[in-house]
Amino acid sequence: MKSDDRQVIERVLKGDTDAFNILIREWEKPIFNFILRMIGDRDEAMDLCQDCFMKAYRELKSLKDRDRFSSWLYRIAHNTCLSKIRRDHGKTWLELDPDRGSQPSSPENRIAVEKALQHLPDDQREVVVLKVFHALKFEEIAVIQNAPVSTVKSRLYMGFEKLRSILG
Amino acid sequence: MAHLNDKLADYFYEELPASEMVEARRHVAECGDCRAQIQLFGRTHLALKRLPDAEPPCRVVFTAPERRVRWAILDWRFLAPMAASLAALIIAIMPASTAARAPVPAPVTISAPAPVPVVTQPQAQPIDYDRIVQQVRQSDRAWFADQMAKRDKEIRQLEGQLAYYESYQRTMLKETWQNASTIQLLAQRTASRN
Repeated sequence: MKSDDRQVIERVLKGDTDAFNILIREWEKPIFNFILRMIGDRDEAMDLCQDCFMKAYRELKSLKDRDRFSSWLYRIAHNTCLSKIRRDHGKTWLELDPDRGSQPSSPENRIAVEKALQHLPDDQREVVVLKVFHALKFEEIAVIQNAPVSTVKSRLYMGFEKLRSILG
Repeated sequence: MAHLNDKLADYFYEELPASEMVEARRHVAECGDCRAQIQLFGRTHLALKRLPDAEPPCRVVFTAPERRVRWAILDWRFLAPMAASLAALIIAIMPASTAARAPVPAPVTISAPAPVPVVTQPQAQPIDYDRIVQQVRQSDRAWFADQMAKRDKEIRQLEGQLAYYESYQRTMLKETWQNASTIQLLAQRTASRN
């Protein structure tokens, strides 16, 4: 949570709707990247990112603890992704490259890791993304996933284990 | 202290309580198994962490939804049927009221003539044209200032968008170059394999 967020939230709640764009500018990229890594499609991720901010604006009044805006926003993004994943159940966005015998070079490695990430189960991928790329605490992820901290940790271990097995 | 086991992630991300962290560091310094596990965990973390963040393909700009007019009842869609029903009601009432009024003879009453009221014409006030012109000018000035502020805001927004699209274009160009080099590399590898 950036220190200014609380003040900006106060301004938005007092009717300064333009101030909401300040929050968007600050959180657009992290939220977009979180959704992109969960969904795996740029255009879909952009649409869901917009939906996420619309929901956030509509429900801003319900945010009790204004210091927890980031966790709250990630929770909305989590719900948005979950709805999308449930709607598109069965679709796969990226296919795993079967050829992974040789030690990959850097650009190849990047592609391989991105693909491997898409092959994790949704709940494990979410923990991995929130922990590694967004540096959230285990407690925060537990709130977002509405799961015990121990479950979150075991999802991270299982996710890492599966990534290692895919990447070889 | 026993092996880290399920506290490995807490140790790696430094989320253990301070006292446990000190103990864990001491243990890891002595325990080869735990060090190996931490290295393995760290390699997976780093492989992921190296992935670059993507730039959003376009910028989300929030515009506040327009407020609904409180007196929506004054909308023509509501006024037209209201006027029609009012007209129908008047037509229905009018003959009945005139019929009721006609046959009744007016009662004759005799009374003293009422005193004629003295009507005094109000004195004509001089029209202060200067004041009116001044008021109109003031309201015009306020309107123009408001319009100018709106246009300025729009220009600022457009400038921001332009800057964003320029930076996005640069990023895309960079990504294209990166992709091209990746393709070249893959082609070279395929050629060397063949």
